[in-house]
Amino acid sequence: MAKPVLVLGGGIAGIQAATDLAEMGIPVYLVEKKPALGGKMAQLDKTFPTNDCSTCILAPKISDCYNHENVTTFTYSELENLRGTAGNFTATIKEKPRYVDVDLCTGCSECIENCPVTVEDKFNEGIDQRKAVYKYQDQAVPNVVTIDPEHCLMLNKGVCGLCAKTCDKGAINYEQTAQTKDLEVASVIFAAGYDAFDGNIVSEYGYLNYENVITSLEYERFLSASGPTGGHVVRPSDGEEAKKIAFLQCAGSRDLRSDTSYCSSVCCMYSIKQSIITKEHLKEADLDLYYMDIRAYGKGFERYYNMAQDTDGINFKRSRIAEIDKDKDTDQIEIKSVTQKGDINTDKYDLVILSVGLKPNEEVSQMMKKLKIRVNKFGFAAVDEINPLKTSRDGVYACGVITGPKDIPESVIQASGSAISAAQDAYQRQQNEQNENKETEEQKDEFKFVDNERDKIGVFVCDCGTNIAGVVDVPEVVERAKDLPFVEHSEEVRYLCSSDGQDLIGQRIKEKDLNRIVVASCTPRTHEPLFQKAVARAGLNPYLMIMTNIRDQDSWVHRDEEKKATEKAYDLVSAAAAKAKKAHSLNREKLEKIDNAFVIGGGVAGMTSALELADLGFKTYLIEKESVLGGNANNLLLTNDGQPVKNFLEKIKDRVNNHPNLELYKNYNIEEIEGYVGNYKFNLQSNQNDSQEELEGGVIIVATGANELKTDEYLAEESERVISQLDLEEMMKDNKLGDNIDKISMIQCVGSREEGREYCSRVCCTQAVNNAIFIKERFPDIDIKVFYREMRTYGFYEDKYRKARQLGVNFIRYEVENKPVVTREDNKLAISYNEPITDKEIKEETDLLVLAKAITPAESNKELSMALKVPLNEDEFFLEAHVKLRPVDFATDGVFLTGLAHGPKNLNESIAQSKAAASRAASVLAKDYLLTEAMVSTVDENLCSACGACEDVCAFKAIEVNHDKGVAEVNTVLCKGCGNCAAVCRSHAIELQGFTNEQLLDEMTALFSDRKSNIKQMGGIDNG
Amino acid sequence: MSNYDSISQEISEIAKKLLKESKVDKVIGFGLGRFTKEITPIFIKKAEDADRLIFNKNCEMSLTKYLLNYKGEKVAIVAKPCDSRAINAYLSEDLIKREDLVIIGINGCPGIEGNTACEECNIRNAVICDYSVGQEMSEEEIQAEIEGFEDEIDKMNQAERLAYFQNEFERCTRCYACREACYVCNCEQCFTDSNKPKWLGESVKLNDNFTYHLMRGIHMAGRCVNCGACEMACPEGIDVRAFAAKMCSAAEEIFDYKSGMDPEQKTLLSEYKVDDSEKGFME
Amino acid sequence: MADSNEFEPKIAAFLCTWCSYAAADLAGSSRTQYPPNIRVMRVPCTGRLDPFLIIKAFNMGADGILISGCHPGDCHYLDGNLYARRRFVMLNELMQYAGVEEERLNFTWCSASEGKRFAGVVKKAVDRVKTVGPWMGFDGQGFSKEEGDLINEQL
Repeated sequence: MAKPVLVLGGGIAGIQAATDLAEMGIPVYLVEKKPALGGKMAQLDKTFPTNDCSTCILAPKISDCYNHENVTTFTYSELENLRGTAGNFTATIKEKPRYVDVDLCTGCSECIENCPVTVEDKFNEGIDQRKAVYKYQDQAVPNVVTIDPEHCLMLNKGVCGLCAKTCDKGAINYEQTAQTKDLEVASVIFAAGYDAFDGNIVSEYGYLNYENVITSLEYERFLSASGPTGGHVVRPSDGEEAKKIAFLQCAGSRDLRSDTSYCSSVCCMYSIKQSIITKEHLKEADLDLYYMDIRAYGKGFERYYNMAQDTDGINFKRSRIAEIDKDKDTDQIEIKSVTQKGDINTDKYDLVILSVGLKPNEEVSQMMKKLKIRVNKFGFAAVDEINPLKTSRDGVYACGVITGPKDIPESVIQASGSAISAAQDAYQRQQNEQNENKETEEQKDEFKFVDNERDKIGVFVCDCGTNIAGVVDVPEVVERAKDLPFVEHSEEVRYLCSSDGQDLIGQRIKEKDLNRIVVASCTPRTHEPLFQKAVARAGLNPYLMIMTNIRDQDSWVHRDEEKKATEKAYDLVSAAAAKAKKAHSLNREKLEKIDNAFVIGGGVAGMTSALELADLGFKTYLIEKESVLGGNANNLLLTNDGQPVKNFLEKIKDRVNNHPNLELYKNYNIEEIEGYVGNYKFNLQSNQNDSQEELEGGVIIVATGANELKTDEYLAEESERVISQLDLEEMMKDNKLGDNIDKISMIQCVGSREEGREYCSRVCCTQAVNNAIFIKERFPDIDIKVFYREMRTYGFYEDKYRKARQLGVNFIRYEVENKPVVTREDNKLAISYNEPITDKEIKEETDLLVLAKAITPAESNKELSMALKVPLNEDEFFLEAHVKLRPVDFATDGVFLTGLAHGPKNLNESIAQSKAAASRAASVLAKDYLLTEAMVSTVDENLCSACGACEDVCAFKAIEVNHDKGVAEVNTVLCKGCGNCAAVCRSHAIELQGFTNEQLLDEMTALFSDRKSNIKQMGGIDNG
Repeated sequence: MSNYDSISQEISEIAKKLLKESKVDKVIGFGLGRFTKEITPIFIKKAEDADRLIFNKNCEMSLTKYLLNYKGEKVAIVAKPCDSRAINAYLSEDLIKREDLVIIGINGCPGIEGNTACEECNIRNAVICDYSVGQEMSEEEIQAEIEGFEDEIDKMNQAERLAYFQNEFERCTRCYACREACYVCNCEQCFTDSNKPKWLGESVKLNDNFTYHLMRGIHMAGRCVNCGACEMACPEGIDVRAFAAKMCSAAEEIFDYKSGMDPEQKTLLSEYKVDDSEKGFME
Repeated sequence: MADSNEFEPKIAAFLCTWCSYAAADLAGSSRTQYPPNIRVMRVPCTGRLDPFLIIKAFNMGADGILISGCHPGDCHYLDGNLYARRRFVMLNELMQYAGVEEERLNFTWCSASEGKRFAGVVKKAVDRVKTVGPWMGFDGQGFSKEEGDLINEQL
C-alpha cells in the first residue's frame, strides 16, 4: 500500500481531495472538525451560475467519499500536532467526545425529541434552535447524534439523562473522553475552509442593533427549503414576508475599516444568485444591490449577471452607503446612499442582507503558524502564483478557501490539484513496498451461481428498536411475508444493521440455503452497501439482496396511522420480494486498460499536466501543433505576484524535454482519435514532413489554450501606437518604454462582455493594474489612465488595484453604450471620453493606447470537440461535465480539460487546474484495471432494430449502434446505469440491470395485487 | 389538388423509365390485384408492366414498410405525402439507405376515400422525393381543405371520452391489423407478444384492450405520420387512429414537432430543449 | 382504527434515487408526516421510466401515479430528467385524451433538500386523486377479487 495522506477539512475541497487520492489507491485520513461532513456547501441552498440544488449535487459526493474503502473519516476531530518531514509525518489527531457511541447510534433521533434543553442551531446560523443532543444537520454523514457538552444537563449538572433512557441501543455514553491518535502519513492537505465575516465587521451597518439586518449566510438558510423558515423570505423582526430587500455588497471586503482589504471574490455572484432565487420565491419582491464593481469574472457568470439585470425587480445600484437607520414605526431599515456623481438617495427596506466575505478561521491560521506553515497577512495559507497549492512546509499542500477566497469549482480544482502532489509523496514511499502488495491484491469475489436455482427468498424485517416497530406491526408483516411466493424464511430483527444483525443474515443464508434476500429497514441510499457486504460475506452475490425502506418512508412519516403504515410495510416487502425473485447476479467487470496519457497542447497548462503524470510514473504523450512550447505564457513578463515568467517557463520546458516518461510530439497534428477510456488510439501527422505516429493511451487531457482577440476597434489595426496588453509586456520586457512616452491610456473589456462575447476575460483588469504599477514604479512621470467598465481585481489582486491608485494611476469608468473614442491626427492619437464624476466630455492626446483584448477560444476547438465527442459551450470554450463539481472532467469518461481551453484564467489558476486534470486522469490510470458499474444496460440483439434512439439519448456515449451488425452495443465501461436508453427503446431490447422491466412490473404487480379491498372500502361497490 | 388519373399516368411513365434504364430493381406501387381486382401493393420489375401502376382513391395502404423487406436492393417507391414522411422517419433511423431508394412522391395528394386522416391532413405534398408527380399545393390551398376540422373527441368531457373509447375498444379482437398496417410498428417483437416482461394478458378483455391501444398510442408519439392506415385496416371499424392522431397534434402544439419532415430529424422523445413545456405538471 | 368509508387511494410513485427519493428520506428524518397512500418504486433516474410502466400501473389498478425527479439542471445523469419531461408531457396528453382524469397523473420535481415539499407533494397528489374517487380500470369494472387473485397467481 501507498503511505496514507492526511486531509484536513471535510468540506467540498477536502472531500474532493480525499476521493481523488482514494481513487488513486492511496489511503486517506479525512479529518473534520464539525460533527458531520459537508462544510459550508451543505449550508447553501442553490449554487451559481446554474441554480443547481446544493444538497443534490453534494450529497452523492459525500457518500462516495465517506463509503470509499480507502478513506477513513474522523469527524468531530482536530489536528493537534504534525511532526516529521515530507514522506514521514506523524500527525496527532484529537477526537472530541460526542458522548455517543458512533457504532451503536442509528441516527434515529428519538433522543433529540426527548431532550429538554434548547439552544441556538449553528448550522442554521443561529436562526432557529436545536437540542443539546443534536444532529449537525438532517442529512448528516455520519448519520449520528452528538451531545453538546456546553449545554447538556447531565454533563454539566449530573441530572436528566433522558437521552440515555430513550436510547434502547445504549448508544449514549456520558463517560466518553477525548481520544488522541497518532497517524503516520506521507503528506498533508489543508482544506480547512473559511469563516464568513461576522455580521458586525462594519459596525455602521447595524447588524447588532437591527434585527432585520442579517448576513448573506443567514439568508442562505432562509432560502433553503430545508432551512428554518422552509424557504420563506421573512423579516426576522415579525415574521412578515419581506418584499423590499437590499443587498450590501463588500460588507467588510475591500474595506480598510476592517482587516479585510481584499476582495472576497464570491459575494457578487452569490448575491446575484440570492436575488434571482428570491424572485423565484416571491415574484413581487423588489431587490436593490448596492455595489462598487460587480465581479462576474468566472465562466458563465456574465450571462448570469445579465440575466439578473434583465429581471424586473432586481436593481443594481452603484452607490456608496452613507447611513443606515431603523424606522421605529415600521421596523424597516432606512439606507442613505450616495451615487458616484454625488446624488443622495434614501430608501426603506424590510430586510437588509450584508454580503459578508470569506476569511480564514482564526484557529486554523494559528495552527498553520504553529506548524511552520507560512500564512499571508490576512491569515490565509501563503502560496504563490507558480505554486498555487504548495505551502511553505514541504509535503504540506493547501486547497480551497484556505489559500484565498474562491468559489466552489475553483476549490474543487485546487483540491484535485493538491491531491496529485500529495500522491507523489505517497507513491514515492510506495516504490520500495511495491512487491509485497501485489499478492494481497488478487483476492477475488467468487459467489455461488444461484440464478437458475429455485428461488428461496429470505425476508428480514428490522424493528430499528422502536423506530419501525413502534409504528409498524412488524410481527404481522413477518407472518404475512411467509405466505408470499417463494419466501422460505421470514424473520424480525431488532437491529439489522448491527454486526449481530448482519451476521444473522449470513447465518440464515447458510442454514436455509437462501438465494434471494429482502431487507426491510431504512434507506438504501445509506445502508445498501452495508447489507450488500453482509450477503456477500455469506457467499451470495450482493445484487441478489433487495432493500426496501419501511422506516424513513413509512414508520417515520405515518406515526399516527399504525394500521396503514403496517399495510404499507407489507406491500413494500411483497414488492421487494417480487423484485428479488427477478434479480440476477451482477458483477463489476474488470477490464484491461492502457496506462499511457495523452496531453493535447504544449502551453503551461499542457506541460504542467504532462509533467505531473510523468512524475507519477505514467508514460505521457504531449502533442503540440506548433514548433515551440509555452503557448501564451511566452508573451508574459511577470506573474501576478511579480515573478519572472521566463525563468519558470524555461524550467518546465527543460523538464518536459528531458523527462524519461514524457514523449514530446511538436509540430504534430491529430488526424484521428478513436476508442474510449482506457483504450484510446491517436493517429498523428507531422505538419513538417511525412512522418506519422500511431499511439495508444488510456486518458486524454485537453489543454489547447486560447487566443487573443483580433480586432480593429480603437484603431487597433491602423496605428502602431495602439497595442495590446501582451504587446505592452513585450515592450516592458525589452525595455522599450522610455523617453518619447508621457501618456499611456488603457482601455479594458475590448471585445469582452459585449454582444457575441458575453463573458469576462478575467485576467485583463489585474494585468492592466500590474503593468501600470510596473511602469509607474519605473517611470513615475508617465501619466496612466485606465478606462474600465468594472474593475475585477478579485481576491488579493484588490491590493494591487489599491496600490495602483496610490501610485497615481487614474481609473475612469465608462459605460458600454458610451465607449471612449480614439482618433488619429498626424500620427498623434487622441482619446475622447466622458468623465463620469463631473459628467464632462474630455478629449486629450495619448502616446500609447493599450487595449485589454478579449481572450477568445481557439479555432481548433470545434474540430477537436467533434473528434473527442465532447461539447463546447455557447462561447465555444470546452464545456465541463458539471460547472460546479466536475470542473476538469468531461461527461465522457477518461477525457479531461484544463487551462484556457476551459475559459479565461490567470496563470496560477491554469497551473492548479492542470494539476487537477492530471489528478483526475491519474485516478483512472492508477487503478490496476477499469471497473464497470454492476447495474448497466444490456441489449438483446434479437430484439434490437438498430433505430439509434438509445444512442441519441445517452449522455455518456456509452451505447452505439454497430451498423455492421445492425444492433446497438453498450460500452459497459462508460455506462452509468441511468436507464434512459431502456426507457426510450420501443422494442424493449434494452434492459437496465437491477431495474429491469420485469422487476419493475413485478414490483408493481405485488403492490397492486389486492385492489379488491379498495373497492370494498367504498361501501357497497363490490364487483367480486 | 391533383387528379388521380394524371398521377397514375405520371407514375407509370417514371417507373417505365427507371426500369428501362435499370436504375432500380423494382418499383413498389399500387395496382389492381390479379384476382380480387382491388387495390393492392404491387411490385413491378419489368418496364412493360409499369402500366399496371395506378393511383386512385382506394390506395389506402402505407407501402413504406415494404422497404424493410428489400434492404440492399435498389427500389423505387410510390409515396403519398404521408408515406414520404414515413420514409424520412426510416432514413433518420438508418433503417434504409437513401442511395438505394428512388422516391416517386405525390404532390397535392387528393386523399383516400374513407380515410378520416385525410380530412385533417396538413402535409399534402411529398416532403422528400426524387421525382414528383401531381401538382404541388400551396399552404393556403391546404388550409382551405382542412378548415373547420375539429377533433370531436377533444370536445367531449372526460367521462364521455372514457366511455367513447371503452365503447370502441370493447369491439377490439386484438387481431393486430392496425399494428401490421403501421409503418411505425417494425419492432422485431411487439410488446404484445413479449413474455418477459409480460406487458399484457392474452385474453380479449376491455382493460387489456384499452391498455394495448394506449401503449401503441405512446409508441406513436413523435413517429406517427397520421396516414390513417391503421384505421383503414381495422376490420371492426374501431377508431384505432385516435390516440396516434392525438399524439401528432399534441407534438405539434406543445413542441412544434412534426414527425418525418426531415431525414436528419430526431424523434420527438429522443431529444429535449432546456425550456421545454411542463404542461400537465403539478404546480 | 382508521376504518371508515372514506376512499383511501393507492398511488404508484416512482422516485429517482438522487433527488426525490432523497427528499422522501429527508421528510422521514425530519419526521414530516404525510398520507400513507403512496407506494414508492425507486429508480435511478426518471429517465428510466418507460411510459408503459405508468400505463401499466393503471392497468393493474393504481388509483393514480406520482412521479418525481430532480429539478431540471440537477440530474445526476446530466439530462435524464429532461428526456423524461417530454415523455411525461406526451403521456399526460394521451391519458387525458383517453378519458383518464388529470388528477390521477401527478408529475413534479423535488430536490434532495426539499423534504417538506415532498410531503406537501404527496398530500396534494393524494387529495387530487381523492377528488376523482377510485380508479375503476379502463373497463370501468373495478378490480375484482378474482382479478386480484389472478394477478397474484401470475407473480
